[in-house]
Amino acid sequence: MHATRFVTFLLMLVCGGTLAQAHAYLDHASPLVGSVVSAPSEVRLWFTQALEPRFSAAQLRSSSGAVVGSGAVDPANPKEMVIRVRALPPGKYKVKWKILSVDTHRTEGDFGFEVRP
Amino acid sequence: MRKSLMLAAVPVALGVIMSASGASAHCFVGGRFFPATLGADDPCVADELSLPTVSGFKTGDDSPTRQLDVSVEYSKRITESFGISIGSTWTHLRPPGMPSASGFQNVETTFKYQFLTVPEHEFVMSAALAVEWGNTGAAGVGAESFTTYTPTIFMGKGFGDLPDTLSWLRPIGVTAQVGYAIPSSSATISIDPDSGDTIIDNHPRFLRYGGSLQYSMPFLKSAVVDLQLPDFFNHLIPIVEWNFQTPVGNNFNTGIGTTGTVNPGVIWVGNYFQVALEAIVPVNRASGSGVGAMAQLHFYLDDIFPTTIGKPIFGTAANQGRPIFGN
Repeated sequence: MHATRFVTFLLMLVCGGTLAQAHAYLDHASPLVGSVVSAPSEVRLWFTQALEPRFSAAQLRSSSGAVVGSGAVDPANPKEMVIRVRALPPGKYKVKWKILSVDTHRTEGDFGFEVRP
Repeated sequence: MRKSLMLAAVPVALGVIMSASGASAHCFVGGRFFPATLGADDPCVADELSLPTVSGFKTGDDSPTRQLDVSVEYSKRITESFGISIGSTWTHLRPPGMPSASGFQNVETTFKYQFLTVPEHEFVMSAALAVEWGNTGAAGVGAESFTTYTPTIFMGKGFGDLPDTLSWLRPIGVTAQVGYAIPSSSATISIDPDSGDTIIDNHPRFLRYGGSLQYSMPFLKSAVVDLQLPDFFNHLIPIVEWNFQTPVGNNFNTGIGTTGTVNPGVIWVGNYFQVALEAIVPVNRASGSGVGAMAQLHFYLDDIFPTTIGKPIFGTAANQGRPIFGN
């Protein structure tokens, strides 16, 4: 009897979890985190949860620290952010992102990639 | 004689393991996530539930007793930076050649304040008062009759701010804690039923210290390099924890020395819960006999129930506003 109640409680927790939204993590990006690519026309970030567009942003910076692009949540997919850029000259770039998931959890991070001719 | 040795050693072993039951916190600091740890507590406050933490090991007695502990701990944020945890442990002892014993350890409550958070350097500090309430557990499994107060300082540091030339070290994180355990009474006085002699059992003051060294595969993938590993590996955090206590006062003639364990293992981190498995390696004979193991299932209540029991009672869970980027 006690075991049944315990399992029921665990199921309630886990099933409740499938209905909730959690902290949003960066799942993957294009260009890949830490990769070497030829000039991309955009940087795209995929997150594990839907984002609040008004409270989420991303920036692309060159190795000198200059901001070369800013991004926002893709209207077509609330789990994606996109930074559109003109052809990037060779060099190292850093993407910084700060986001708010739809359940109001805030997370942030950064990653780099390199453009080669 | 054997029984008295066992009863003397059980509180020492429990001191090590009970501090292991104090795991807590869904802990984000900048781009760093510190998982809930099993041996040493992590440096944040959060809404979470460890259910259960199970550990099995042999005590450091001359004839080692097999000990099984099953713990539960619930942590609740009162405000964004202040939280209270309450935990309890059920213990089963199997001494060789003697009847086994079972019962609950004393209830523990921890009041914790996260007073410093530096996101850009992934640095966090907290101060806490842990209280083990005397006479709330079973004496037969070593629960003390007196209350112990342990003021404790916690810190966490992620190395995500290292330069790109050291990028493979950026997923490393460390946590540390140091506390001073103060018993509410200095000694227990009893009368030996055989000899009629007065027995004075001193209650030492302990310095309790521990920490962890972690390598975050989620951080590696999202901030350093995406190796396109199978998804399972991208959720792992290999970890080594350590947990010690050293008597530093009122320990004359007790024969108690430094005890502790080192716990290598791994934590799998999901969106709503984490699963951890660690070995328990005693650092000396008094700390245990052979290698034990512990495992934990830990729920992130702030993610499972973000609008109800998973948020602070007072204040908002997030500082809403358009993100501002520094240099």
